[in-house]
Amino acid sequence: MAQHPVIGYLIWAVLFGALFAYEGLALRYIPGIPTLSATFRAIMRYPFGRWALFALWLWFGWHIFVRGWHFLLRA
Amino acid sequence: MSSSSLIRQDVVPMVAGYVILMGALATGLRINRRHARRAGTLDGDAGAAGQAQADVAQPAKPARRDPTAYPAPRPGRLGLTARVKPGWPRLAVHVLATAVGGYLVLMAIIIIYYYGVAPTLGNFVESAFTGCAMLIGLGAPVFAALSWLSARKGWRL
Repeated sequence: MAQHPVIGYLIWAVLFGALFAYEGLALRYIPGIPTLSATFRAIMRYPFGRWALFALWLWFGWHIFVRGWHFLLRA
Repeated sequence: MSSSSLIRQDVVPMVAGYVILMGALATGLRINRRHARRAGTLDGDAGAAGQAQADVAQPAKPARRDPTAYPAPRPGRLGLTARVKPGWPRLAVHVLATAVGGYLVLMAIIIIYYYGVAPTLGNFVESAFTGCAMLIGLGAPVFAALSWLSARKGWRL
């Protein structure tokens, strides 16, 4: 395996670990730390927040499911 | 792969994604704290005052506030959904407005970035336009079906 994928995996692991740790702290009802769902709900109170999150979802889904794939998911 | 391409293709997207995510979280945190302060539920003076008023009004000890519980979403500033009949029509308009708004925001970012900042070759931008539209076309019916099942049949994931 080349060097760069290992670094990439490590960075992604650290990022997701930080995310899960944050959510864990929030679910422990520690004051001042909202859960991710509460945070996103607060963002989605505003139209532009909903648009930005939807755009992020589209961008993510396009990269995961569409880009580089062909009809009927033939690679 | 050279270090410059490694930075350009791997590190920059990951750092950008991290910054975007953390920015969204920071925004949500600020909004969250502002609403909590207004509602008098955050720890501190405002929270103590709100708790005192609650104690006077209701002697019984109130249940601890669920951090995930927030007021129902208010109508958008544009007031589009507020003018539609409640129920399925309002949900449809809400979802449609969100999908169209999000699609336009993403396309605007793509056009600005890939034509103005970092031009790319090939059909990258065209693929973004058609691919994202296809995702909406696939996702919207599934969302509608799941919403119908959830509302009419009590079905939950």
